Amino acid sequence: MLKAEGIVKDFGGLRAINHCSIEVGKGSIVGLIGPNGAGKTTLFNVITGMYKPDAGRVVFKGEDITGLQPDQICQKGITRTFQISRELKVMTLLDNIMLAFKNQRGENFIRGILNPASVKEQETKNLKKSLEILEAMKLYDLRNESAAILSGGQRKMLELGQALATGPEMLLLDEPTAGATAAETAMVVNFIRRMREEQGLTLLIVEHKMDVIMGLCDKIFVISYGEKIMEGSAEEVRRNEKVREAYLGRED
Amino acid sequence: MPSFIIGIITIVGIYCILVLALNMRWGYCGLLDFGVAGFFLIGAYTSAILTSASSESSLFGVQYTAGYSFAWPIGLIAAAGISGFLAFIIGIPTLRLRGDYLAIVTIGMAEILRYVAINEKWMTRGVQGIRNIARPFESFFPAAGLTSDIILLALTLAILALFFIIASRLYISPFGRVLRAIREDEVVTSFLGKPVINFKMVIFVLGGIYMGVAGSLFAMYVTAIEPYQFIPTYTFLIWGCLIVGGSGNNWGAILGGALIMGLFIQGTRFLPSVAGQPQLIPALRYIAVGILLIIVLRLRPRGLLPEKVIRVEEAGDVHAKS
Repeated sequence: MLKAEGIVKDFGGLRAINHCSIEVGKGSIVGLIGPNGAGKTTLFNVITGMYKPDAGRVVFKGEDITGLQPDQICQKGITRTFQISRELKVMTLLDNIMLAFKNQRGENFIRGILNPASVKEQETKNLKKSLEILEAMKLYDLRNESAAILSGGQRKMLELGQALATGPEMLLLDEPTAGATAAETAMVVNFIRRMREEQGLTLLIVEHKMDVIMGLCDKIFVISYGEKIMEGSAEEVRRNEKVREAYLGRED
Repeated sequence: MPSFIIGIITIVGIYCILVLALNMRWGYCGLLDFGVAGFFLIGAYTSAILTSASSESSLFGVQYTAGYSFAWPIGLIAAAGISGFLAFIIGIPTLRLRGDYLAIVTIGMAEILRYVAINEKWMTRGVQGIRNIARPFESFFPAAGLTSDIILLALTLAILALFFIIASRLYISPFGRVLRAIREDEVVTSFLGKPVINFKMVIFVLGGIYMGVAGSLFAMYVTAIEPYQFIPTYTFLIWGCLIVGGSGNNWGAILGGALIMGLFIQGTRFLPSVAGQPQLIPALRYIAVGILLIIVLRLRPRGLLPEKVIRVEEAGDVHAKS
């Protein structure tokens, strides 16, 4: 489904990602782990078009999407969330979700002014879907509140709902449970499983909570200092000497 | 006296169009536009030059020739078009940059245009300005008459109403929702699949069109324009109107325009001048506006009529509420 091949990204003299390749199969949940500063978020940023890689290419469903703009990549079917939630605080929860749907007719400004039946009809449909998403996120009662009042975990849920509303084929989640309580984390994990099972979504997840990663992922990539040090199942990662070294340092 | 009051309502209406335009750019979309006076100038001069008769008069040795004797609607539409086009040209390099660059470029653009108007005498008559600008239906109702004032007032209010309706419908539309999202966080909006620059460009050009039309109405209202009427002070007065009224709220924009432009700038013309100090009241106007701004920001930081949170109607409610 998604292939990143030989990605290199430099920031000045610092090589944040060094010839890193990952591959995510359709319908799988793949984890991306590594110590702080390993380049996980940078890799996300390269895949989703925030940065252009200095070398390498990103292929999605057989199509080269390297260097496309973030909005174009989202249109292709890849949506991401952020490590630190970036929900739109002034807007209501409902508006946050309504915003995210693709191909909204009323986003053309002439149709926005005239508000013809075709726009109204689509808005009603999107409203219904939005309320369903908020319901699933347990945020329904807060739908008309501004997003600024949410707790950390609720923000993550809102962001997830927003990403889901874009109708993606693949989701890139950057620490989906950061700042969430244990109960909220369980909810997010459940939700991620359901998204794969019910909608056949493909997911790539960066996460520091090992139990979350180990419990969810079919395959895990471990990167350190911008290089992939291994890939494998949760069990293989747990046993791997190099991974332990990357996190804890070498015993001399 | 009635013509005086009609005149004040007209000019305040014209300034309210500018406040509305700024509200669409800044209030909806967060575009830091400091070039209001420049778009206003382009509209006024475009309209004035197109509708004036060409003349061969000589002024300080410079032949003043520009003038095309077009009818006023053509002047009005051209003012909208040229000002919108100017916005498009400025938008190409600046809208992809951070907001402060747009502020720098727009204020620079406005001042450059003013100096062009001062120096390109063949076209603009420089500081002498363009005089005897035609008003609508002038051959039937001469510019000095009450009827002419009423016609212009009606035209201004009709356009203001139309622009207000367009702006308000845009605000609640999905298009407006994207603008409000851009105002909060461009990056997130682009990752949600919205081509942010296109949205910014549309609203920036639409703002330019509004301001150009306001300029054209202004030229017809005063019938004589000169570069000094487009100094940056006016840009900041319009900003003052928007901040006092309530950024993001169209009614707030109108209220701010009426309050500052009407009561403080125009209304103070009624005050008797202080003996021996003819400049005192005009100078005090700006001090009064400054004080008003401070008071409002202190007590109602989001303006007198703050932006309302939109609550989507419960039409598609999946829950049957008991």
